[in-house]
Amino acid sequence: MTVSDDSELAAIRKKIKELLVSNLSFLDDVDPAQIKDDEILFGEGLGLDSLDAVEIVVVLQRNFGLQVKDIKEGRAIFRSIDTLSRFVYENTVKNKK
Amino acid sequence: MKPLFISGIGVISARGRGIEKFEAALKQGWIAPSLSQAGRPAYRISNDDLSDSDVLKTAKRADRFSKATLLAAYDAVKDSGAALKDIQESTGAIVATALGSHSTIFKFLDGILDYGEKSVSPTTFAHSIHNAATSYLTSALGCKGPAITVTDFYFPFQHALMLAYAWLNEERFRHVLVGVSDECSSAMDYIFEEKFQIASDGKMNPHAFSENPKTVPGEGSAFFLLSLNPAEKKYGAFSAVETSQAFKGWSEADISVVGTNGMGGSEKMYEQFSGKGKSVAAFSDIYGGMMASSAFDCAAAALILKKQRSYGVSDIDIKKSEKAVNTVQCISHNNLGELVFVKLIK
Amino acid sequence: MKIYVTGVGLISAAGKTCAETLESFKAGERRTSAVSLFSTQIKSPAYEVKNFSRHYFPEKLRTLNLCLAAIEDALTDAGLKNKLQGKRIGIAMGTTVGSILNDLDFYRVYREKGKSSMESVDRYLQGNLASAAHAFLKTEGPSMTVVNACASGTDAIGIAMSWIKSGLCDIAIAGGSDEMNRVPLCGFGSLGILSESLCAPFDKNRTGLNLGEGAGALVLEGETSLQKRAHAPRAAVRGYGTCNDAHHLTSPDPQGIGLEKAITSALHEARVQPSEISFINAHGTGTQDNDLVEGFVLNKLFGPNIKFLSTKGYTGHALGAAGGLEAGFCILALESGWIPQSAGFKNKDPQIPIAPVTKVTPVKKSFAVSTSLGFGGCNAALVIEFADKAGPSS
Repeated sequence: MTVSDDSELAAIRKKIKELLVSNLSFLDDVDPAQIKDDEILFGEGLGLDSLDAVEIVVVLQRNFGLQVKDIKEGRAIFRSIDTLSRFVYENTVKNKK
Repeated sequence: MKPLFISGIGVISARGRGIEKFEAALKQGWIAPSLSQAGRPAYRISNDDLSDSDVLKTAKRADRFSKATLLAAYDAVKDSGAALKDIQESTGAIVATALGSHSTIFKFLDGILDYGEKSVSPTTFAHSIHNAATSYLTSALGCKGPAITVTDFYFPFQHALMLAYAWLNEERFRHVLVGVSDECSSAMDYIFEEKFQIASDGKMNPHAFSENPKTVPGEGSAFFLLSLNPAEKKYGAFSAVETSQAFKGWSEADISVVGTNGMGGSEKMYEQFSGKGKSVAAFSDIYGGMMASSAFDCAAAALILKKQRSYGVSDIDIKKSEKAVNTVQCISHNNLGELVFVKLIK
Repeated sequence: MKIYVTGVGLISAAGKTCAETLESFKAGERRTSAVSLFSTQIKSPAYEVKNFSRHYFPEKLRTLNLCLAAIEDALTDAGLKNKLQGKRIGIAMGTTVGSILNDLDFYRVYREKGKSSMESVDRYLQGNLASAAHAFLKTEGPSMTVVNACASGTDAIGIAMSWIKSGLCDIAIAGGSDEMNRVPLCGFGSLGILSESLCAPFDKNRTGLNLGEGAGALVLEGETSLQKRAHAPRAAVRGYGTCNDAHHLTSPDPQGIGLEKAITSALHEARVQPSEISFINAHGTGTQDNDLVEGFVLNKLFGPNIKFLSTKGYTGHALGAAGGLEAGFCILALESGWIPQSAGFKNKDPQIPIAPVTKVTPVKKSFAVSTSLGFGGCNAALVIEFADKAGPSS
């Protein structure tokens, strides 16, 4: 990846963290800047659940125009902040290049 | 109907959270309502009262309606002195509401209008269903008995009491949390303005028994922890509910608490319960007009019985009179002028 | 005290009468179309009640009209139409859509202008099912509109049973009603559980539910009431169980503990053993979670050979109406001695230990169980008995 790619991906990671905090009430008290890039979203990490998963699908639709058709496909994408950010990056910024 | 003994009460309203705050409000009397951005008066629960990081730790997603329900129910259990872990396996819940979680329903409609049908929030949808609040109640309190949400515009609490009796009688549970929750969103207070006469000066007059009463919308949640065990009685008991239109009230009632909330049309029918030798109390101006305000009236009645004092406007001072208050009847009406009665005994 | 069913009224995509319903079940017909009652971009087979024209109230009060139509049919079936005066009547009806102010046009205009026509609000204020039914029938007695999500109809029937047993009323009308509506269509779509193809309850390849609409109403009476008028009952509701999972807002408890308790409680009240159950009308929505949990619990309680089906392949998921309809379907099956194939099922899911029936299957005229699960951890079950024509002993 180029430096430009890295910074674009970093910007997306930042935005993803902010969107998760603003859209998921479960994360109300969390400072987006404190969420690690490799933070696991479900279970032991941020502790999100199945309802949060479908909410994230809508967040992706509203903010990036992206669809996650299959919730099984979603499992890999939603694993961590990093995997989610890369999915957005690859289907938005990178696609346009 | 066997007596349903009241072991705990939880109330949350614009006047604060907890039965002590509720009693303080009854003693203090009327205070001015707040005003919305559109300048409409309403008695709204403060955001501070809906914050409780301990009770609400598993309800972070919950909307105001669900939070108010959970907090009032929790407070009813706490007020009873019972340890939750001792009763939760055998405790059910009957949550009654007139209008449900309408602010969340409108928020869901916002999603359809702003983002389209395919980009609406599933979390908002899940909370727009009337029984989301009951779900939070059972999850947070660990109540694994039967749990039901019911709705009626005017008498959901009274019908919920009758069901509570039927199910306690059948031993479906040994304790039940029965209560009412209702909220007042900005869209709903517009609707209230169109449908009812709003007291622009913030002053309802619940003792006027007017043909065209005025109201100030309120919101809140009031819950009772009930059982058939007289040893658990703290506030007296619900001993009867009458819905038949042939019924005219209990002559032995020492006080009638009337539901003059300004939301059911003419209130002239309550005149028959007032007058010489009859003691009548009305409290809607304390917590605001709610279509299903009877639960709040019953909470006031329970306090009257327990504390043996009348609050606010009434023509008797119980402490000075020779007669104790043994029976209070709470009377509510609907937009057809029909009356429903609930009897509480000491 | 035994609680008898003396009247049944069923209106769904499968049929607007009991007879029509049985015909379409036998033929395995799945009467779906795209949503036609309102414009929508969402593509999912819908089970609408076509050509429904029984308007007791303005046409837009569709849930209420469906409800009153089913009630009228049930009362006619029970020989009680226009004969309720002087009796204490309880009415318990389940619904979801019918209790919500969700008119999009009203709200759109309100958002834009800060005011809007009160027409839809007035409709909403008329539309509480139980109290509107009481007013329409000119009856008095207990009244309850149950809003327990998809378990509402089953809970309403259980509540009515309790009323009669506790002496709160002599006769009760109970069930549920819901119309096809944009809010649940969008909502279930957002949750990822609305299928774009025909629903396939319990199937390995199931992709979610289809929405339906309709109303199911039963007339319930205790023995005393029945003896007074010597009317032959169609069935008896012998037991009701309800239990909340206390687990999650939208997902059922993975172990199905609440459902297990609800079914066990219903069997206990009925004094019936699992081995005596002839078949089960399962909730079976076609979603991953529901069918997995329900299959697990039914196998645990009834064993691998239990005959069961979901009728949602014929009616769609009619939400608050589902419990009322499905109790009625159990009665039709007990009377006729057969259950239809579980529409939509082709491939056994290896994760679900049992599989529903795949063809019209004979059943004994004895006991059936109907189960319902709903958002918010609601679980409800009924045990229904085939009533012999002799009715209660005098």
